[in-house]
Amino acid sequence: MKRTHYDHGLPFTKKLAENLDDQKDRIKTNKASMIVIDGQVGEGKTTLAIEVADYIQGSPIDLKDQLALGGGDFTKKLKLCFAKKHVVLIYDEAGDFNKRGSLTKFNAMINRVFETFRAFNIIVILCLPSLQSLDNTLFDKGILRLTLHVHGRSMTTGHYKGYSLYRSNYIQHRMSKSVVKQQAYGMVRPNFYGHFLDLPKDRAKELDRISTKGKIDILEEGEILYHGFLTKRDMMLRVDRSMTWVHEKLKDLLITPKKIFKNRHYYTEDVVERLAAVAVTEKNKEKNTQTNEGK
Amino acid sequence: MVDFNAEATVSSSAIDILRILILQRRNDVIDSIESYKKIEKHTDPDTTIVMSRVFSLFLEIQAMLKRKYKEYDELEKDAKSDDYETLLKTFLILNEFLDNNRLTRIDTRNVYDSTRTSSEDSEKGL
Repeated sequence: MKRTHYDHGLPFTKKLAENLDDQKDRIKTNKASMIVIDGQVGEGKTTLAIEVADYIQGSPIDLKDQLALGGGDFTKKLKLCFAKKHVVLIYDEAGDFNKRGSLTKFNAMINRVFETFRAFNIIVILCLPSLQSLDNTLFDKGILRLTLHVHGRSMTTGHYKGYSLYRSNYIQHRMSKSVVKQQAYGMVRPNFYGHFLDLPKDRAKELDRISTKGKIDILEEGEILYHGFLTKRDMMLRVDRSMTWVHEKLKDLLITPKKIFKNRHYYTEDVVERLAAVAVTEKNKEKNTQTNEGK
Repeated sequence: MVDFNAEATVSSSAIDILRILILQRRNDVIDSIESYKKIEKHTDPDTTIVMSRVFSLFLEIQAMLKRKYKEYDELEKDAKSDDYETLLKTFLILNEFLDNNRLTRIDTRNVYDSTRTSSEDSEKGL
């Protein structure tokens, strides 16, 4: 039978539990605490994140409420966790929180959330592929308190290395200088290291279900961005007409949406051109009418 | 001091220079004690070298000792003694004095549990 707990009753080594206790104490004194779990694809970031979250909460977390996939989901669930008085929230697939996009409105908003989330007394666990993609301000503000780097996962266990904020700063610096970013972990000694076991079967299944759905959603969003699909609102702004006008014209021209995602209709770029052409024709007609009336 | 002619443009303070001289004297005393101990069993060596080096160390920090050490006169007398045991006792007093004044103290780092990330961060002021 697959082992899911060690003899001391936890799915990970004791040292990690001691460090997590310190983070719990931090939250009690109204200080922000964020734990980052990073590692390459399939190394067990989400598995360890759930085990860590379970330990912090003292009971199994509700994956529906406490596992956020992507930024939009995260802000929504942070509010939900606050309302339901949950003490921990996992922000999985945090790769969208990266430097390249940090100037966008979205990242600015997320950054603001991290600045103020200590008021919620919630420990945030951030899962991302590389520590380097993390915004520098989170280090400078001291929000990140613990980095867990997962590696070397087998069918039954995974390994992790734990780093303090002090050492995480060095890792990030080393990463910025290294060609092979992962080598940075070999250059900075971890504060502690250990291993973790897999989730129990039923919980792993539940995670798979939620995680796969979330990942498909991310793929859908990526597809929309890649193709540059537009919503009715986008088209309304482009052609400078009312929403009703756009709605009517789409109906008249028998244009169907290219994609429907989360109850929102998406159209291709050429639809705007057709609508713009209709708008110009209508304008010309109006002008002609006005001129004739004048005569 | 900065000497532009000698291209010594990075200066060392007098304190640093004196500190190195004191450490050098202390090291010399330890060397002489070592040499004395090496031949002590087979011959009956005299203590001239040990005495002269202990006294040199004494002179190096004499002004400070006069200001801070209560039994200065007695210590001065002992530093000139030709008895090995008295000289050794004097050296130990001088050594402790240097340690108390943080001239040779090296265990000043706080000891913390580095396996606890919060201890490390708090130690580093984060």
